[in-house]
Amino acid sequence: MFLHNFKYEILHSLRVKDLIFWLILFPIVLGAFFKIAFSGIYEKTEKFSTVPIAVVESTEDKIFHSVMDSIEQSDDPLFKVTYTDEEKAMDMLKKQKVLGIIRIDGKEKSLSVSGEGIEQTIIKSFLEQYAVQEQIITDTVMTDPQNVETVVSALNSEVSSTENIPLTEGDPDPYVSYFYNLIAMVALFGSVTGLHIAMENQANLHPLGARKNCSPTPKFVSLTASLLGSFVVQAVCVIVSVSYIAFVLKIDFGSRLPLVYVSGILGGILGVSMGFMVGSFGSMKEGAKSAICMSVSMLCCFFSGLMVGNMKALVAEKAPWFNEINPAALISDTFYCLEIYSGYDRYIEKNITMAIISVIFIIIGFLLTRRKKYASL
Amino acid sequence: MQVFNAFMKVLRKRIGTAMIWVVIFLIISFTIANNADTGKLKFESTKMDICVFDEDNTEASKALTEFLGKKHNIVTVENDKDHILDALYYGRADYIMTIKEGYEQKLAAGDTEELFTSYHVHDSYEATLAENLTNEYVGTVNAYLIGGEEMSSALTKTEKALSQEVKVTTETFDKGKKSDGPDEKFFYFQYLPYVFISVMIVALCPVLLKLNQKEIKHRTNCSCITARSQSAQIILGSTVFVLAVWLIFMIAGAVMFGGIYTGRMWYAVLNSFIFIVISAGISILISAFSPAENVVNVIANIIGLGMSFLCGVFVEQNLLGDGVLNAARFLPAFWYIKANDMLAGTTGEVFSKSKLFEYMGIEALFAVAIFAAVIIVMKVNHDKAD
Repeated sequence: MFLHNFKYEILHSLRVKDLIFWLILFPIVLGAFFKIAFSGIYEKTEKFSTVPIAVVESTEDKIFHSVMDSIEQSDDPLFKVTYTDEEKAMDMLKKQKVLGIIRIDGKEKSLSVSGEGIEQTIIKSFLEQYAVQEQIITDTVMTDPQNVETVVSALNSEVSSTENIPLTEGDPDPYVSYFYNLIAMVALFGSVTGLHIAMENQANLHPLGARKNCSPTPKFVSLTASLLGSFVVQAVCVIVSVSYIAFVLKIDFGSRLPLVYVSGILGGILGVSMGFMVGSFGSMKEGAKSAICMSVSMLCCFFSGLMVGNMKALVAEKAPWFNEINPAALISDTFYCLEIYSGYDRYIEKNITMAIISVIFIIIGFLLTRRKKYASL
Repeated sequence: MQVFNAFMKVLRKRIGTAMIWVVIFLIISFTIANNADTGKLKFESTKMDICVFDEDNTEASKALTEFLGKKHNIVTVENDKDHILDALYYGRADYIMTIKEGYEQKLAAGDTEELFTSYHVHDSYEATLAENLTNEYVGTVNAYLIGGEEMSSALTKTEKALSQEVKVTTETFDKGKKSDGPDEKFFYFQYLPYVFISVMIVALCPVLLKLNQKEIKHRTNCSCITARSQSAQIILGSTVFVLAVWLIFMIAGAVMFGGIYTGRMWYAVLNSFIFIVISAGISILISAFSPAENVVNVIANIIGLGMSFLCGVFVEQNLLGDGVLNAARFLPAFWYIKANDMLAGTTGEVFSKSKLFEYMGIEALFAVAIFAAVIIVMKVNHDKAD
């Protein structure tokens, strides 16, 4: 009887064609949108690029001029400098052709900006650095004039005080987390299929439930078969999504792709279990229960960073426990662990948490639906 | 007004479900608006979060840590690889460095190479900036030492020299704007396109789908009510619902800002109204194709999230590639965000009333086009049913 129920659950799921269609279409379309929207952002924001500035000289400062020239001529120049007059400089700043105007008036140097960001800070730091060097030279002239030349040459020599240690060999693109969360959302959408199982086993909520309740098959057997059937269907949805994102969109999941599938499928099981539990609660209409499932899934994904990327970091700061139980965060974290960490401890820990939550959901679902008798329907 | 009455009857039955969505999206709007990453946009607060592990623990290393603390925020991160990775990846720390043992000794001997180690996940402005700062610090101490200063006086003089500030003025080309930098109040409005599209589709579609059900549709079609009147009544019913939802969000916004909207905020209110009309149009159009009720949510996510990412709701428009922006011009949310960015002063585009009305006018045209499509599809459906 188990196999019979299992087979029919799969057939039944496949016959709800539009749901399957949309569940598969969802990551394909959104994944493509993400890919289009994010292509280029990483280059634009995270990688270092030259900052355009304007210089307005009320009085000529030859030393400053030559310093700027040498900066511009270096291999990876910090600034692209335009020497111009006040009016043109303001016009360029207004049109955002330059990000800052450096004004030189005697010894005084000032900076005008129109926006506020990291590029503007770079210009400001540069000016401060220039002022510092001027100060050092003046100080040395006061205390030990013979040493000025050695000090100047020391200032001109390049200091590289920092040794960089790369932490990971994985893909460092932070926008990858949006794709992780997309898979998490597909997995959690499995709650809709899980919801069906619970609804279709309750005689007061669904005609199929009435039929099932008067059959001699034990509820435990029919429910388990249905659950397993849904797990299989949901696993297929997740496999399609991950394959599409990994092979068509070419998002780098690191070198351990098979484990990405494993966690994705486990996430799908978690989603189905959640739907199963929600479906077993009370006698609300399907529409309302479906709204609860979907809205909870979406909130979970929201707090895991599907819409706003830094949301998970924010949660980690304000309520770190929530990241440990939020299904969407758990699913996307497993992918993150595989990409970033070389070890398996965290990966296994996250997967075990997912499994435990799934089991808890399923047990609650079973407890709520067991031993129900219907006097009349 | 039978169709309108039927609409209200169905709506009353489903108001609970619709409200679940309204509440969920209110939570999302509030969370985003209150925690928007505005730090990047403020000049004064481009303070980095730096973590320093001091392995040298000498006068010189302490002076450096203190100096970094004055210029930036010092954060603590546990000193193991996993915690460091997490902190960098999730942006809790912008830069993590270790002052190696023997720092003071090497510095006194005039050696400025590899005094620190720093960890990074990817190249970034923050890392470059922090590295420049430490190099500058070390270079300055070194220069003073070469100039004949003792270590302690070199450290003091370095701190003094490096504390000089350059005078910075922020030019505001926009005379009506009160403050420098973007106005944070508009962030609440920035995310509304996503919220409105989603909430309209998930809350309004099920009601319309019920009205589109075969039995109800056939009964209505065999009455003497014309297709046009049916569409008009459904649109009227939807309007009541749309107005109610819009008012909820506007009142919630006003409560969040602690009072009635002022000045240019009213333009944003008008902008959001045009957009909710568009969202309602999209919702009615979707329901005209009679999708199954349980897929409505998936469709809402595809359209809501998709349009939001392409048009710059979640990611600033000036960060998106030109190709994406060119394509996004054909979507209403693009114009909504353009108008809102101008109001907030996010992109530096100077406020001009005519430009603003141009953007909102284009949005309104989208609304007209969508409703024209709604009427055509409804007419076709009606004729087919005949």
